[in-house]
Amino acid sequence: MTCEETEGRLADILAGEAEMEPAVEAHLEECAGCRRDFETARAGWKASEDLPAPGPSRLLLEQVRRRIGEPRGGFFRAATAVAAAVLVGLILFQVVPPPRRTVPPTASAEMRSEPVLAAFEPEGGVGSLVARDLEGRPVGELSIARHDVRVEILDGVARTEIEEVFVNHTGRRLEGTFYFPLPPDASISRLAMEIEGKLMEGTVLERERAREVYEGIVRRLQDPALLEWMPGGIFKCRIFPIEAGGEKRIVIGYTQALPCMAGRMKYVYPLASEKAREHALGQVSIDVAVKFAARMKSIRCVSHSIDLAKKDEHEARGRFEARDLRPTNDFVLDLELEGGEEFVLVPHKTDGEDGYFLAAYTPPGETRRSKGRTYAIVLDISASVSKPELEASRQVVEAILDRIGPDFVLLAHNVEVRKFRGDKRGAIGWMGTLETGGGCDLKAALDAAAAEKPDEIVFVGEGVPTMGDEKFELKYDGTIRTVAVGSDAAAPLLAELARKHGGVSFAISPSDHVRSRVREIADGIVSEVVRDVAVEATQEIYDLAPAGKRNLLAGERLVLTGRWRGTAATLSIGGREFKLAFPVKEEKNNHVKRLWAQRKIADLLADESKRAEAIALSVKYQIMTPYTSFLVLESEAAYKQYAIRREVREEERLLGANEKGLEPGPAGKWQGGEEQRRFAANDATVDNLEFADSGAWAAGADVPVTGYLFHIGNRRVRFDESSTRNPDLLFVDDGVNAWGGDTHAHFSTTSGATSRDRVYLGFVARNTEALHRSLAARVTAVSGEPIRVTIDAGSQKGVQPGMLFAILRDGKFVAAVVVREVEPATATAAIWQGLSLGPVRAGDEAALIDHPAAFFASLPENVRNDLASQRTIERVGRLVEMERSLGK
Amino acid sequence: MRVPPGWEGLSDEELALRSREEPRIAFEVLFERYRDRVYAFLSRQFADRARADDLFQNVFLKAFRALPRFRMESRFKTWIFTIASNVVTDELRTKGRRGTPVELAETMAMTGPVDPDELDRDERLARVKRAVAALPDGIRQLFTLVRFHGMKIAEAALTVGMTPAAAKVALFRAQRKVGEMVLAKEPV
Repeated sequence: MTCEETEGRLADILAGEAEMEPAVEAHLEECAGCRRDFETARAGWKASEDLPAPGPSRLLLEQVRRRIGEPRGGFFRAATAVAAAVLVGLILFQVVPPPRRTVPPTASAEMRSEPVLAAFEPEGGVGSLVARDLEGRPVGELSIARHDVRVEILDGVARTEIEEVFVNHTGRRLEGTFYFPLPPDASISRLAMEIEGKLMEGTVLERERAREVYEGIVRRLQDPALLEWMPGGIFKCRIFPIEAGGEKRIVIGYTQALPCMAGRMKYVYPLASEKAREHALGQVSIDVAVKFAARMKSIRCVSHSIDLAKKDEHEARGRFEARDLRPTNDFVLDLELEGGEEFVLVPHKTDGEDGYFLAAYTPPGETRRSKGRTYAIVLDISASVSKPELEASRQVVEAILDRIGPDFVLLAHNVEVRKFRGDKRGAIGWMGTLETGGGCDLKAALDAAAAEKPDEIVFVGEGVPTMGDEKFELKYDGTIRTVAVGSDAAAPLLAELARKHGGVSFAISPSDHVRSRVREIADGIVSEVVRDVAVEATQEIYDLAPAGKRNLLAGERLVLTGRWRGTAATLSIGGREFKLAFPVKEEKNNHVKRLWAQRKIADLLADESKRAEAIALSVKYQIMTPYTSFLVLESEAAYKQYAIRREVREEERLLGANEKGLEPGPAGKWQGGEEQRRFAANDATVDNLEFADSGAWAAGADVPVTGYLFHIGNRRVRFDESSTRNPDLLFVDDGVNAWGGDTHAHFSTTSGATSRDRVYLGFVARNTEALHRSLAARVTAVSGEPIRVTIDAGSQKGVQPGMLFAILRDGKFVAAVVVREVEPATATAAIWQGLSLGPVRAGDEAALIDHPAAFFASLPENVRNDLASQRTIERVGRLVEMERSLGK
Repeated sequence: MRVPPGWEGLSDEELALRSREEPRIAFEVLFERYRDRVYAFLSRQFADRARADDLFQNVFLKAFRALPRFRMESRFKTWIFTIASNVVTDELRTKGRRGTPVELAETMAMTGPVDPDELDRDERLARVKRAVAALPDGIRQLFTLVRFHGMKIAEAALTVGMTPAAAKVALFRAQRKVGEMVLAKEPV
């Protein structure tokens, strides 16, 4: 070792990054110069330990903050500069709990927001999986091999399911954090992740409980995933492991009610947010299925060229596909319903519980008002309004000016109010000169607007009062409409203000699809309002959600959800009565149940005293909230081990699973591997259903699939080992076993499926628990050094070299052994890397360890402590899982 | 700036992501986290506090403008200190070492070692301060980042634009130089 090499090593040692090593010690023994230098350097290093450094002055901090608040080269106007400089300093240090929406909001007259997924603009990041290696070194975002979206719009309730396959191109095992922004009025209804080749469904748990389980497992083996609500409606999901050169598949589903104006509604999937990615999306598909109880006038995709086939006036389907896509715009569907005043009832009822219903009604009224009204438009330019928010506010005001007459006054406010009178062009120019700064005195701004005596006041901005009165009564008889801008806007306050003054409230965020949202808001601002629409019902109806009176825009479709008992009831909306006849049973329309639950939870969360009830409903209906999280564990056994009850998702019910999630068939149980498939459309009987298989099934390599089950329309058709060939279902090329990857399979049905039938496909798996119980065996002999354990499992089907068995005595863990050889009557195994608490004896029980990760995690703490180091256990668990997944 | 509940719990990198949507809130939280550390780093590069103040503003203005482009290819901490390091280097390149007490350090009275524990704390720290100021610019930044900001040598090397191997040798020599000054019998 040279002196220079030694210096490098010594720097490591002094900095605490390495221990002293023999080679360095030997060099120091030989080289007096290096020895002396080391002592000197050590003294210098030690002496510098507590060298103090000054901190920045308060004035300096304020200067930085103020400069951050300015546009480049810009300064506050002279008239407000002094006041703003003082106030910014004061206000920026004040942390005001913002009255922000923290509940899954629902579409209502009081709160509307465009259903848009994008949140990170313009740099992308939507659905991004940010990864780092095991030493914590960031490797950036992973590329996407596949991006499949399934959209189902039923009676205006949209369910979007996104399946993304991320690719780890590095040669290292990575840990990822998946970021996913949620549309403002949506709720997460599904999270599934591929673990060891198997798609595992997540379950909603109370947030603290989910974290407790997650952290408990992570400390040991790091196999689960946890999806949590972050501020601003962003979700964060930690994922481990993403193997070197491997892929990770994630499925996320969310549900939202689409706002409907004058019979028109719009669905947006923000594909464009992916445009900033460095790599094109490998394979993209968007499947759309639309169905309404009401009649559909038209449906079209305004953004992409897709073949939207309208089957009849109630249903349509379409598919968009692309490869190596760099999206430049969002995926947008425009839908229009017929009959503006039509009342629609969509019921759902299963045995043993009261029913759920969705009622949709559009009160009559003109959608546009005359231009003869006078307006005072108030623009919030206080310091907390960000630059993108100010830009969105300006666009909203500009669009409003475009739709109103010449009688208006424009007010810009922070701590003071400035007014502009003049023509529209002048107003737009004036807005361009405005800069943000200072506090927000909402009352002063509205008083100033009211003093102008306009027919209407329109408030645009955050509206979070940081100066003046926070609670106030306004002396104004006209209408107030509000536009809450940004995710931190005082949306509830602004909504209540609008409701009390006969108006409606809107919401927009810079992360929305701003241009189209601005148009919608401006149209809404100039529409007539139907005030105080009351909803009343006879006693058979209960738990209406959302509850309470509301103002509606003329032409706006009111969507109510509720529960019912009995067979008939009367519902009154805005004074008009509707006689409802309920069916005895209606197992379809699961979306109604979900939407009701989503809205009920939102109502409950608005009242802090009802949070526990909201959490209970959230868990029951598997709808995520800020107080509940999605947890994905590696196996059903792991859920069982932590006593986590698995609620059955609605898709499983569609497939015929019972409440316990099990298919009560002789051959086994459902594993949740359903996929909805599109089939070739013929108006007559379908005799050749074509499935374009999208890849991996939920069945992992270790799940013995014994058959497949099709759900065609309302019928369930089974095809499995025992039936060999179901008379209702004839496989053309027997493609079942060949499915996987990108292959296609064809089958025919003789049972008369029609093109309107939806086809679902699931698989039947042998009950793996029963299988594993059958692999319980006994130790017949112990011999040799190292110890060889002979067990009597050799005659059992399924024992293979590499399998891990737990040796148990009186039910207590003794050792873990790995099978080395399988002979006709016995199998021999060796103790795995010293994982033993004591000697293995003939007569001990031997039980297959199906999931090593969960198994070792389940051992009592004292047993784990007595075993090899935690690291060894982790390594063993991983090795075995890897070997199994590789089929070794 | 109001910081909504929950933002303080986000990691640096998560905040950087969020800055694409809410630049000012994300920045405010990051600013609170890093202001003291960045200022300490700058003040250790210059004796002139007014100069450190100017550069402090420059660092955070640059960071604020560049934050939406932060691509997660390094830790945020490395990223912000790289900006700080570049600002210091640019400053030295364009305006020279005005006000830096470099002239104090080059002549040391090596009359024999003393036990640093026997030195008065103030005297010891004064010596360390002078020794650090006397280090070459890049090496002083490297030393500061590793010694006072908890950076790994490789990470600090990346920040100041050196190879890890060269950084280790340079760091050791800086450690030795500081030690020499601390151990000198006569104050320098």
